[in-house]
Amino acid sequence: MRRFRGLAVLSVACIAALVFFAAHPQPVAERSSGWPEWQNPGTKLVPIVALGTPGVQLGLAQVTGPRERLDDVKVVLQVEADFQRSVRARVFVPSREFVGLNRVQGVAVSALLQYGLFRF
Amino acid sequence: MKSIRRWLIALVIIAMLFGGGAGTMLYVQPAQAFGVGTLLRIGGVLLVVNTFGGQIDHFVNNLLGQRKAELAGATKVVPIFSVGRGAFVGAAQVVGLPENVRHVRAVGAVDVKVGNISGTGLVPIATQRPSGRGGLTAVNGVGVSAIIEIHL
Repeated sequence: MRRFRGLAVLSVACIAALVFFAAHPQPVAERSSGWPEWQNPGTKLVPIVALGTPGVQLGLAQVTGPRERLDDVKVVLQVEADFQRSVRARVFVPSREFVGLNRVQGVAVSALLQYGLFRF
Repeated sequence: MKSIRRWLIALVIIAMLFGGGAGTMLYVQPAQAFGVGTLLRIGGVLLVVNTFGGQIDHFVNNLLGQRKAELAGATKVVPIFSVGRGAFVGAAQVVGLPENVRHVRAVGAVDVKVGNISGTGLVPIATQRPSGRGGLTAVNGVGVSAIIEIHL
């Protein structure tokens, strides 16, 4: 019964999202103007702090992106949500600061190694 | 006309994803449900991501922007396939060098967990090399900023 309730909630959420996207088409090309044409890709290892449904995890993350941006990255903050082990979502924010969300643009995560501190 | 087509696509996808999945769970034996349900989920998710990738990308950027984490780099939403701790399929937003992001067609992910230690590798894949020759190849300078996936 719980399984079907979760499925119903997920269905309603997906229907709402699809209706929203269908009613508000946004051309992708509009965002392409103004992007800097970065060159020289590089990688860097930084600490990662993950918070979410499974608990708190600490570890190392490999970030990748333009070299001129990688130096600014000090930490990656991860938010994770797991819905009854059937749906999971993760957001990675490479940040300039250990506290707060000061995102470094153009940089993202390519690998993770984490240690689970405790579970909720 | 375009709007009607989008509605039709949305209805077909919903029917495939949840009508088929729920139907197999209710009326089909577990062994059979895995095969049919899995195929329906993979097909539905790929259809959703390929049809509404641009809109999902815009939505994620707006969402992160409201939390002062706005993305200004090249971004794109592509399908993701995860193996290791179960099999998952879903959508991933990739970020990186605009020239390289354009070539990404999917993300392959491997999850490993030993005790309290877990590791994840995220590999953006291009089905076509920048040179124009075919084949699967990893794309440098591109990473993943957001993932949503369902268990198969």
